[in-house]
Amino acid sequence: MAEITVERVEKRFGTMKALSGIDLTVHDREFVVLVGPSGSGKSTLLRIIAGLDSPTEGRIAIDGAAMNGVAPKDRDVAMVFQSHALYPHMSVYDNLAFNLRIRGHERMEIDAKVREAAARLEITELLKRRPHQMSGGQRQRVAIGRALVRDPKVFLFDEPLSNLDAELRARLRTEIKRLHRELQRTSVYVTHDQIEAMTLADRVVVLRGGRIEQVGAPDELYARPANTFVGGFIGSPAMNIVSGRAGDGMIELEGGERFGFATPSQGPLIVGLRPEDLLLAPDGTTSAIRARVNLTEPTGADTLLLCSIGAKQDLCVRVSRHIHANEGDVLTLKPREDSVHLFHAETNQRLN
Amino acid sequence: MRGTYITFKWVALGLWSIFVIAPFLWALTTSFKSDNGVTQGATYIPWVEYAPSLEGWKALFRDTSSGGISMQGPYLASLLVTAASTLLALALGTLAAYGLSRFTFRFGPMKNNDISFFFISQRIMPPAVLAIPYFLLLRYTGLLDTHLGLILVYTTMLLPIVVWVMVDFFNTVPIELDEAALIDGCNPIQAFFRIVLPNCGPGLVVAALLCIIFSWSDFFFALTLTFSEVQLLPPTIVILNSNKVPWWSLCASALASVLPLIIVAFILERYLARGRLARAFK
Repeated sequence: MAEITVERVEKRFGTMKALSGIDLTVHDREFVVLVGPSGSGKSTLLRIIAGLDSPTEGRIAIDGAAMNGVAPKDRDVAMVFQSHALYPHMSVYDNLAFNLRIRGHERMEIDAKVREAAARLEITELLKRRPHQMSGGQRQRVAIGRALVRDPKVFLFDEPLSNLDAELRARLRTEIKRLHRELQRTSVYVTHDQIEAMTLADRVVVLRGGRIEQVGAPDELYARPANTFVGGFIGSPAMNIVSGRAGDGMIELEGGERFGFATPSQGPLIVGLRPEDLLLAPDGTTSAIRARVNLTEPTGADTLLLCSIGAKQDLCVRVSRHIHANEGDVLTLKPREDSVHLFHAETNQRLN
Repeated sequence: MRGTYITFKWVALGLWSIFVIAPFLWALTTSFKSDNGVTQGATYIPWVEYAPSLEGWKALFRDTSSGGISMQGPYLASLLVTAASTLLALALGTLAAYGLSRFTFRFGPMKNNDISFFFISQRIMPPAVLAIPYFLLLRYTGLLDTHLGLILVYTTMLLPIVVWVMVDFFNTVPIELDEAALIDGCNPIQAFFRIVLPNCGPGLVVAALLCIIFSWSDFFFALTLTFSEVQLLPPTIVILNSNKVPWWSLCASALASVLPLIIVAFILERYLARGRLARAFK
């Protein structure tokens, strides 16, 4: 049982505000991912939960017990760092055993726990090595093992996969997810990679400029982004965000194209259209968007068509690989009825 | 091309080695000579070119009354002062450097970098300027002409070097190591001694080497701050020059005095060459 509560947390470094007004509850056994561009404060929030930084204002609690001013070692949290942070002067075995030794566990018990964690992560044959004798992926496995061995209340991950190459990253991502399913420990995971966020999280927290933009399950964030920032940040390729104007049951996009859509209000607004929600329609369909193909990018299963409407407005369309479009073609596109995202023209907040 | 480079390298190294080793060779052979051997010019091969004798080395241990030098006293005094001031400076300087590397300090308008520079700026002053204040200070505290007085003076002279070397070194150790240790269950003191310090071996070696070289070979303070009770090695040897001490004994005493530095250099060099650190932090 471990629930993390963050209440009205602020963090200032000098005059720079790193976090402001953060309220967040991470439920027992939940896997929460903090995601955002660099400088969004996601790592700072994680470090405050770990006790490596202290909040300028606000309260942190684990299982209801206030953690402000409690040393990291007394919080019963384990952390995996981006730079693995293995102790270079110790073997893998000693790296895993260190936290149990310093907490005064019995020798036999330590040995059993180290071997169990090593077996779980398939690093048993590495136990005698030093950190510098291993590859990046192996080191990060050991770093995860070091967190695992203690069986802490809370796991914290600070961009653990960012220094690895794409293939390893995908493998370890799956492994972290599997470990979480098996161990059912409350976890907070920081990343700037929205795919990691989507694949791992029970809930995703999107941060920008020290504020929470949206909290929700990956599906929810994708289907109903709260504002244009979340819409653009979650999803790859990014959502098309186009200014437009609503009226008479139609939306007119910048560039002059119009399509039929019942809007809650009239006047200027911002339209969000995901590349896969723009469907090809037969030529001559009325109230559809006509776009000229400028570039095609085959990605395997799908092909991305980079189009333009009017003079300047770009539009990315994702189509099946079976559809062949050439540069210069004019496509007729109809947005999927239930997947048109409308945002306020000034506040950028969701309207529908 | 590569062949030329290797040839050039070995020729250059060879010339340099001759330049460095020749004086030692000269002193070494001279220390085993007697009257005849010295006056016959530069000769190097014992038994062939000159008749070797142990007279020069034996004189080191004889009393002055019987024509010897009696080097044991100054030798032990130098060992004591060097070891004590080096250990003291390393202990204090390392802790200070760790603080400067990991925490933010403010002393009036001065921040961490200024404080580090303040430390090293202490060494800008020439020793001659410091001699009189130190003399007065030690006389005032009754530490003039004592081992403790010299140890304290050397420690103040060594501290800036240790701080300077170690701050730089601690800065190369990622702070994530400290943080991992804190989360693993260490308090800050344990994190320092069990995680950070063991990874700073090469830095400690460099700092220790500089300390040992300075305090072992310092002549100036040893001369001005001691008189009769305490005699360190460098003044003792220099004073030999002005007496009627034979060449062979002089050479033996000079060699004996550099011996500890040579031993220390060979032992510590192995640690320096290891380079474990650079690879581990990549």
